[in-house]
Amino acid sequence: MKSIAELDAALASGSTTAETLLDATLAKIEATKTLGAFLAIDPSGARAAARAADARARSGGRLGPLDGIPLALKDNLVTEGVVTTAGSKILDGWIPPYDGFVVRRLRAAGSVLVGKTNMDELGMGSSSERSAYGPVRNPWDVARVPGGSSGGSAVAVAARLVPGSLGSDTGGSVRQPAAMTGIYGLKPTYGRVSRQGLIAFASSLDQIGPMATTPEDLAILYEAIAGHDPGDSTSLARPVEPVREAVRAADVRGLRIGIPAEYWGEGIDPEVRSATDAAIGALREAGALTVPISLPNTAHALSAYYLIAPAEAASNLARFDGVRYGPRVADPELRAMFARTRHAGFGAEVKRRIMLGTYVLSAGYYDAYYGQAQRVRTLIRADFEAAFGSVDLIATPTSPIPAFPIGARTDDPLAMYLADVCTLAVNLAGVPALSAPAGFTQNDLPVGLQLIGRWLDEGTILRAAGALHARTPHARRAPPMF
Amino acid sequence: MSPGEVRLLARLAALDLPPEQGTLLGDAEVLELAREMSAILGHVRALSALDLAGVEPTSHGMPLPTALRDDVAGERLAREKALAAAPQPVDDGFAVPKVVE
Repeated sequence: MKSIAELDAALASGSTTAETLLDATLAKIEATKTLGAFLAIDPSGARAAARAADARARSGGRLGPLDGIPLALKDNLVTEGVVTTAGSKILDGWIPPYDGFVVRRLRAAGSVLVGKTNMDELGMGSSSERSAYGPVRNPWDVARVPGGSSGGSAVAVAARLVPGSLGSDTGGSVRQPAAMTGIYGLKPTYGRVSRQGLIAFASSLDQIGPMATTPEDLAILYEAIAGHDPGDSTSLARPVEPVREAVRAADVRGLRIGIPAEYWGEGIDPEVRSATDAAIGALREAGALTVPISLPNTAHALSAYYLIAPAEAASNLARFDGVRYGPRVADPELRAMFARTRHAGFGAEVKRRIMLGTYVLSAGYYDAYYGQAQRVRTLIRADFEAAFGSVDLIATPTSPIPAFPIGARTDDPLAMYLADVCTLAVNLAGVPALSAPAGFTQNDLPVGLQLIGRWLDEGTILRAAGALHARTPHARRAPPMF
Repeated sequence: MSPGEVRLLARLAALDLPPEQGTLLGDAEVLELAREMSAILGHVRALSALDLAGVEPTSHGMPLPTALRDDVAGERLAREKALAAAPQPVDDGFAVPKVVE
């Protein structure tokens, strides 16, 4: 599978057609079903979109770089007429009555939306093992997890089933699976991309982001989905600067990269450390400068996140009650009907987080837990503000560990939460960040480098990723069997 | 966290039946939840020890202006579409068990 930019050129020159690409994509998805990457395929919708794209190409009226390109969507993005479950039995068989904002944007750009990708139930997980419809497998080693919660979107790209996909990132759910599968993943600034039509997990942290095999493709997808939407009250009414040319130019001379001491301590796998060190070295060779910095409140990010995210989830998930959508477990009494429906529909991790959120929001505990976590959030945000006074971007490992074996962490929620320890603070602060392939372990497991930017400055981290891509071979390596 | 607290939380969160109607949670499940939630709370409790007097809380990473759209009618979901996925639609609404005698 070629990159979006390469396929765009092939479609523009007439050397391939959108229908040809779609046929190849559908065949490959069928042949790799055991990966568990997809929950639903939309062959008829995709066929119609591909034919329309080919008709435009024949008449010389292509809509842009995504016209005719097959893409996949995480299953928490609602799609009119296509089953959307967010990996949960609570929405089993749900057919949404509308398209979310980003879905409308991608359709308007002419892209061919082939299907919905598997994920940890309602976004709650770091391994894509907590889907109610079975785990996603890592194409680099099918006995291992692909990371999560956007594991299906990551694997769809890493296994070269589609050249690009969208995920969502609440605490690292785009970046961490991108790192564990050897691809690029971007979490834009909070508010850059409308959340209208994203099934909410934690509303102050959730952000939709693209996944792809090159930084340029990441930029193409980002430009297609970013921008103001009156349908989301947290959507920013700020202009989106074009970034694709800067990514291509890949000029990082004089760029100051902060290296925060707190992200390189214990818990970082030695092979992750050496690969990310080498990637930072490549950026230095390209002319960037590295500066030691400190983000002193990093140690509190995990705790603050696991108070704020469950609290918001407990509120958001109150909407699943068996009244307006999803299956209902009948009972002659209303409250019992709610309870039976929710007990049957939610998995163990979701229930745990709803109860945790209910606990920390309850009278008597609110200020000690939720209030305190929000004050810590102020400190974490201030850490980034101070750091960005002296550096242009910040580099850290994306995940402290490479992909782990399926089942290795499911019995211990805290061990699972630690897989997101390097990515959580970014969501709490609202800054943009991406994961770029940094290298491989001796067992050929991918390692990711996280690049964190100033608020609204997606351009600088994409430019740095462009420089890394130009100087290192890692992102061009596909898993041997795919 | 005690098994009793877990059962109370489950009811508050509409994950278990009202007390007069029994329970959906087995004792083993409740014990497991109590153990796991105690471990998580034990970890996050470190935050309550921090002296953050005078630090303002942050609710969003990006400072957001209050967003009010113009007061004009927008596009709305057609009633049939809104009702299409309901587990028990009735006439032009969602049916629920009787709550008022």
